[in-house]
Amino acid sequence: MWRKMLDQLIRRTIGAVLTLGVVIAATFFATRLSGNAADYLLPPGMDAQSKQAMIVQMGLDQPVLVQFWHYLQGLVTGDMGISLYERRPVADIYAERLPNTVMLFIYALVIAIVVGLPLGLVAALNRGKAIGSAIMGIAFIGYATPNFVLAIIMILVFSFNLHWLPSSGSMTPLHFLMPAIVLAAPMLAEIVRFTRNAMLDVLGQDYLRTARAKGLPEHVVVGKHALRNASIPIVTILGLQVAGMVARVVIVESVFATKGIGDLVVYAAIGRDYPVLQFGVVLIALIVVISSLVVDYAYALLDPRVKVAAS
Amino acid sequence: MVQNLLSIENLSISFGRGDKARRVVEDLSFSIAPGECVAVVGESGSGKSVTAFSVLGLTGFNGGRIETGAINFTRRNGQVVDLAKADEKTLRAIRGDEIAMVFQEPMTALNPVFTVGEQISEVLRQHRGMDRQAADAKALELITRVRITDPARRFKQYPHELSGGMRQRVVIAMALACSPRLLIADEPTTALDVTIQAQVLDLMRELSREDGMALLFITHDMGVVAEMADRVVVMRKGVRVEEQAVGPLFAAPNHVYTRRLLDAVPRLGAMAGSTGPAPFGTDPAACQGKQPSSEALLEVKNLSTWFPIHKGVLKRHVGDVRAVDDVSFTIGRGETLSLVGESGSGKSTTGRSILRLANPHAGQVLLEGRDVLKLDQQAMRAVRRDMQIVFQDPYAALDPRLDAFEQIVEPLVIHNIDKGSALRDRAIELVRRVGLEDEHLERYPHEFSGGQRQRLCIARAISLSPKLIIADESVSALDVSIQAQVVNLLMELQQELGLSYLFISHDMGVVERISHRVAVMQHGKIVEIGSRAQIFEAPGQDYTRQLIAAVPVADPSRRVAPKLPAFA
Repeated sequence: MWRKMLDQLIRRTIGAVLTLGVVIAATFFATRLSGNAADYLLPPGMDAQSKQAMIVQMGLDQPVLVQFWHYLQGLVTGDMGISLYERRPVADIYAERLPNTVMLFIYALVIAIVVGLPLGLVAALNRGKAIGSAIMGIAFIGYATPNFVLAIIMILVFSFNLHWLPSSGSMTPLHFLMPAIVLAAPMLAEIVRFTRNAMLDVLGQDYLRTARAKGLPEHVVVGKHALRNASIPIVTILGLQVAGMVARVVIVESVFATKGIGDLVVYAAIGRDYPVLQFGVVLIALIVVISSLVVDYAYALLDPRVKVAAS
Repeated sequence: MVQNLLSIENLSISFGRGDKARRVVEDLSFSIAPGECVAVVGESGSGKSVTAFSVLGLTGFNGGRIETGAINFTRRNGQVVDLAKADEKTLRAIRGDEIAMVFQEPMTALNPVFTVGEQISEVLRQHRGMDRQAADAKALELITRVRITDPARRFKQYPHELSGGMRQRVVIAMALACSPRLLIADEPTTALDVTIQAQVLDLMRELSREDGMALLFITHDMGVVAEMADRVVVMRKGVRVEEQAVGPLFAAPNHVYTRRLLDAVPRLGAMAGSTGPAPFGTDPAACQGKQPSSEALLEVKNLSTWFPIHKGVLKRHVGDVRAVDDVSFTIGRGETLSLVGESGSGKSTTGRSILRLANPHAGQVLLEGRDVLKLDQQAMRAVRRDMQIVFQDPYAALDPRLDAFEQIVEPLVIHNIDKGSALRDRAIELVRRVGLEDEHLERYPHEFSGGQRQRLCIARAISLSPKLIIADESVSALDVSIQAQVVNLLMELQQELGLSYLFISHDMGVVERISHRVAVMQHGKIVEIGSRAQIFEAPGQDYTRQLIAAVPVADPSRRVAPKLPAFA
């Protein structure tokens, strides 16, 4: 049985690596299709000769496939290239930025799960009552409010009026609180909704009747028998939400001026800084692929039936 | 006089509120003495399961409400509690400890994400305050006691890794964990094969005798009642219509409804001496139907359907499940061939292979001489008019978003046979033919009862005037009395339309009624095939004899002492 599970996970991992390869190739060629970086980066009045020299120096004179080959070699050996704009190694730039984004992600995930799961549970157990409806109403608002609107309202309230929290920057953990809440909001709403639906689905199952017929107290019936089953679809939604969070982090980091990879990638795209942009996209793809792999592994751990379904 | 263990007095239960409130149990009274087995019998909707749940104090969780009445239960310490009014804490202490329950659906009664060992051990930790180690040891003992082989390995397995019969044993082990004084069994064998049913019934009877445990047995099957019960309460539409000791009830039922339930029970051997099929409620000897022609409609030759098993990262092909293995038989025009065997014997796959709903990998299926397996898509579509199927679960086989009219005429539309008002006329003719009424055409599947739904499926199947109908466990999910009506309908249609049936079933009682010939399947092969009389009166194989012996005999005087084969 463990053998089967291992087989399945190996297959998944191979699939993930292939996906990543496709993303790397697609980003590389797509950035090349969007125009010549030299035209954008070099000052307009530059003479043809020095312009050509710069192009050669940046390696942009070589055929695209050769450039791709060099790029792949670089990726494998850990050389991500030099930023065309900042003239320093891409790896160094990301080393500075990545911790901020990772921090933001972890904060947001923790907030979404720690708040969302219990709220969803309470909503399920109080279906049709005022408290259940109130929770679902708030969740809906959280889901429907655009990120930047929520961000601006929070800045207005907590920074300008109340002076509780800093409005921008990434110097102290406190700086991360508001961006993390904004980043977490849609995910939290989704977790509430999914937890509620998953619980309602599970609460109607025969095996809960069995659990009650055994004389188990209600907190064991719900907290053990129901929650363990409901957690299976919730984990799935978590994996999807991480991908959504990657997309939202770009906006959130811009609004709060958090020096993370989200806003780095945006500026790299606008400035056609190929090496920075490429690595940014690959990194984001890596985060998404890894989170869905983690979901697959978690799935296999939570649901004993998954191992067999693989055969 | 001994004090009653359980006495239900004037119990009424409702579902829903306000205008929508429905009484499902009305002024019900009966009692159970310590160690006694009382069967509550009735069809779906009679309120028997609702009654069972009320004894566990679970009515509220099901959305119901006890209106009036008392459920007095004598606890181990001699104290009498009214379960209808007891608080949740008292009920919790009684549930699983003094009163335990075995459910109808072993497939869904167990939690899929915990090992079976854990699910048994949990009860002991709850009620006996045992630590994990002691509880696990006792749970292992219980698994052994319900005769599951290789208990140590099973202990660590999850429900989906066990067969239906084994799961039901696990549920029984769970129920017995604290040696309850009363065991409630709600249709515990309805979802099981006959042979497994016989084993589970034997097991329950013996265990209840060993522990001096009383049984409240909920069932619609009179055969099971005759095997198990000391006393019988017959319920209909929430009301008790009769209560008697089992012997007198079977010998001389007081109520006409009881009589009807008893008549509907297939009695094995009732057909001895007659050649053709005979509808329920008729005398087989007097029944002179048309004889099937000797000309073959369907010839199945060396049919094999294997399912490949893949393993490893590269999904290498390492072997096959031989679901159907070199099967050959013929069916004549107007003839019924029954295919019997346990779950997993390959009967359904055989039926599906004939229709090419499964992919046979070798053999021939000749319909009027033409090999169906070799036809291209277009020719196959034309042939599908001649071969139809009726499935086991009529609810799942009907599209919930189409009304009855659309369900019935869909085949006619697909095959471009009728249009416009001709469709309506044909649909009316068909619903009338299967015993439904014109206004039923406007209804949706959820508005029908189980038996009516199956009639609808039959109407759909005969709409194209097929020559062959494959009935795959078509009556297994129906109540006994409804089952008899639907089987009779199938027989009438055969007489009128000259239909041939491949009747797939695990129910030997029904098979004896409907068949001209019978084929017995085991492990994908036909182990025995012959006329109905041959198979039932002089079976040549042990396996066939086992199948026949496992059928509950609807006669309490012929009850035999339990024989307990170990479960493999």
